[in-house]
Amino acid sequence: MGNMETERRGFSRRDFLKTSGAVAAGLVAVMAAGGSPIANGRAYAMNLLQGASDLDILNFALTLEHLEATFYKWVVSGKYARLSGDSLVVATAVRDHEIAHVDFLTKAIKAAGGKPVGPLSNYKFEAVGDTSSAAGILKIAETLEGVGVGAYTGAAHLIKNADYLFAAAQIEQVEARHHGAFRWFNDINPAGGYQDFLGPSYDVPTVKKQIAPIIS
Amino acid sequence: MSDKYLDVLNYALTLEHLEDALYHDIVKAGILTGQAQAYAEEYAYHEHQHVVLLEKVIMDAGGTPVKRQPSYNWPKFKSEAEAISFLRTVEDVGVSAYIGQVTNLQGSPYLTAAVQIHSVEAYHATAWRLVELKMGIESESYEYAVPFAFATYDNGGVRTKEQVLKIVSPLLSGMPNTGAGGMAGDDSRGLLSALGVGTAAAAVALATKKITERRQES
Repeated sequence: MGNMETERRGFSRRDFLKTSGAVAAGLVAVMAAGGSPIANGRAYAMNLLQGASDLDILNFALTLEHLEATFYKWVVSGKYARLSGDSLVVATAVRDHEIAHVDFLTKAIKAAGGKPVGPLSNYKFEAVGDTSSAAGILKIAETLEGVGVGAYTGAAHLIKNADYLFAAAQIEQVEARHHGAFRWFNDINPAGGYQDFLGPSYDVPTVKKQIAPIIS
Repeated sequence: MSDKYLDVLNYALTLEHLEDALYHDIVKAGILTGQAQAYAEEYAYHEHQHVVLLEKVIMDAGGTPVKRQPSYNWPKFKSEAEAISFLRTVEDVGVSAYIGQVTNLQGSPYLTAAVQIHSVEAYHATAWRLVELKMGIESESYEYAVPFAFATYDNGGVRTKEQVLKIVSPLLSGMPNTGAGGMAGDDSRGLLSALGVGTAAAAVALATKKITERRQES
């Protein structure tokens, strides 16, 4: 049953490794899409992961975490505009958290007999915002974390193993705290905009329609 | 519907009633100023929405929603700072309570909403942490705003129902309030420890050390 079920829609496990580059590019496109990053991330994950196995979902999360870890590594190392002061302190802590998430998910996938995806050599964060100014970096970070919160939220109900669900929530809470902090640095109420969090629709066909222009 | 789900939803509603009442009372007391008051007014609305949502869901499922208490035993706040730190503590407890129930709601229609409310409470807690930093209530590094890499039982990011009720029961029962401090948890559960992933506390300590070193270098 498994093969037919997974190949009918979404990714089969066999495909995921080959297409994780496309998934990462899709995440960047979702970040660049504008609107609510939480709603967009949730829609992207829900659409992509329909029928996915737990291992696929873990590899999706790892794809996201590689992207996040790489972004903050580049920010902290000075590849992009330099942050300073309190926002640099937070970005550095967040970098360490994302690296810890990558390590954890890599181990979890290996422990389950899967093959963990690796990072891409390049991510086009320039498509998301201005990487040459500190303000631009903080805006990209805010968007990235929002997409992350949405992605974990959208994936949660598709996870079958309770340990994986709990682990996803352990990370999702942290992404939410990151997102709130970057909203603060961008002079936005960290918990403002209630509708971003309790979005209106979990209806899959609607979500697919919403997301189609973003991922095509 | 399973009694198991109803129990979880009513437990969540118990906490939301408390938060709803807390924000209501603090906003009305006028102890907060400026940005803190504005945040409290908005978050009061969120918590009230959570109450309305949970009451509806419980009734739709044929259950009886727990009632809000006529009054709660808040600490006597001597300053705005104390009120803000109390709000932060209560929000952090709320976050930890929701994630503590996530696996109990797996397979139910309520899981996604619980995960979402969980993150709303995390955003609230983060806001109060940042207000504490800005106002000098907390003089730590800004890492305090993003305190761990994983929410765990050890760092208070996750709590069992028993742990949460032990913390909040003095607020509910009219017993003298002894403070809502953290509790040691059981971190032997879950994948993180099974896979030997270092505790979040260790990760934060390491990151703090790195920051201190960088500051000394510059």
